[in-house]
Amino acid sequence: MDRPPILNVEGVLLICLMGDLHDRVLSHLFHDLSSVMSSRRPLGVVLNIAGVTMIDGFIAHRLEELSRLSLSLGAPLVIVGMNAAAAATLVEMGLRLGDIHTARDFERGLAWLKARTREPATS
Amino acid sequence: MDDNHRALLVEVLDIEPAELLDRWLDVQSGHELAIERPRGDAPLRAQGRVIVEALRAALVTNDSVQWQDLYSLLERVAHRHAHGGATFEQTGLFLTAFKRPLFERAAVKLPPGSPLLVELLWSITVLLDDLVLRSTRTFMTERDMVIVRQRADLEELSSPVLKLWDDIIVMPLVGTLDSRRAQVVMETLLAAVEHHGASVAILDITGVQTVDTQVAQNLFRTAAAARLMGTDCIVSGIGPQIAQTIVELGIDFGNLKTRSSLSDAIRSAFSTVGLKVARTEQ
Amino acid sequence: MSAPASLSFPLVCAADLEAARVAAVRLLAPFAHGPRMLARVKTIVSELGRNVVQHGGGGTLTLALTPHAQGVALRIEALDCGPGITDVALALSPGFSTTRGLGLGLSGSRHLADRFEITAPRGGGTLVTAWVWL
Repeated sequence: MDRPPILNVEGVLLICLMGDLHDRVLSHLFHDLSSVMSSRRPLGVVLNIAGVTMIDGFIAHRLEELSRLSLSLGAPLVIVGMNAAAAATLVEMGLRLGDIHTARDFERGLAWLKARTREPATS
Repeated sequence: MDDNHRALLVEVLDIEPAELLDRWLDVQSGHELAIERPRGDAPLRAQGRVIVEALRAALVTNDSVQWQDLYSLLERVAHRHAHGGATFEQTGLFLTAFKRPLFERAAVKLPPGSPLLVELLWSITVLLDDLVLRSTRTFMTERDMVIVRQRADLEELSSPVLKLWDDIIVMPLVGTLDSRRAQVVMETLLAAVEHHGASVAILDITGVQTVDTQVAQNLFRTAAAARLMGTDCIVSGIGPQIAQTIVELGIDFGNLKTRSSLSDAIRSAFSTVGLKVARTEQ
Repeated sequence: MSAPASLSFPLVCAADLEAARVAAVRLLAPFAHGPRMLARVKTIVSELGRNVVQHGGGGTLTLALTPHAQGVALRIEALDCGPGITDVALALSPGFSTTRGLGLGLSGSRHLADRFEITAPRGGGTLVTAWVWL
């Protein structure tokens, strides 16, 4: 699916990505996310990658860019559901996902975003 | 062994060979460390016969090939004993027991007190001791391999991951954490994170002997991978000795949470997931 | 199984990587492998291929099964027709990048592969080869 839908759940934008992330998908996501966020004020964005089988250096970089985009538009991005194989491979390659917060699943990601907005920003 | 002694020893071996074997097994079984088998046990007797034949051939020809055959035979015998659970004393004893019947026959063949007898006995001693040493070396190598395999099996069993509570898993680690094992540990932990959906994972290293920079690196990598999956790791069981080593080696745990005891780690984990333990009204 | 000697994929744009990834997965099928191995192979194919497209001005990716001491290996070759990498050490260092992208494409794959080589073939360009023991 080239253009995954962006859902509004409890004040948070949820995007579910599946399979191999083509450049097309990521480019569309940049575009769609910026247009949605400019009209809404979400608490944050949850990117669910539970269905994603591989994350290489390029995709990791694009995810970091996506996170910076989201922050610049006023809300943090949380990545949830990374699988064991992808995590192990990234670490083996020596890659991190920068400062992007990660959570096990949507529920926990949502809880983190809600807790963040309750506390005043410290940094 | 000089030609004369070899020839004499061959003659000694040829004196009633069946009785020679009987006497050998007798001496062997009489010892408290004997390989436990009922008297007249066929396999041990057969082993003895084959050894005597190979020894005789080597003595007669004095050919390096024949000697090599004898050594290979003894290696196989030691190999079998090792895998059968015998101790190396038992294997050594089995061979040294052979000296007795040889001495007895030599004493019959040569006049008592003759210098030749003394020299022959010494030659036999040297020969047999050498054979024992060779087979013991093989035995130890085989035993080591058995131990290595057993250790591998034990390691497989000793990385279970336990679900402590809804969001919390605990992985007690035992033994060494070399790079090979670290790989298994990481895969096991990450699989458990996926399976249980845990957001906190406690790695308890109480049972880990040594923590050096390599082990620390492995722990960091595992924790980093778990973090990518959205899970916090806590390393617990850092005793005073390991703590000292960590300081000496200048290892910086950075963001990785550490606790000295498992209970402290559990307390921290509960706090992270927002749980509290309360005393009930009694 | 009658696997062909090798499979080549022309790489002009990022979309071409898809066919190479799919083929690599199919080649793995007869060999026992877990999700880790799958992720490793796909990531190497993806990264080497992307380097060809982004930095090498296009080229080819070739997959082959080759024997090695302990069994069979999957060999992944990425040949670009660009100016080539003049400083291999620089290209292998983390953070190297001439365009966007983390630039860790080569050093990351080097850690994932069991054996890794970068050469400058006579015809020009750069050949990056990665082997994964199966």
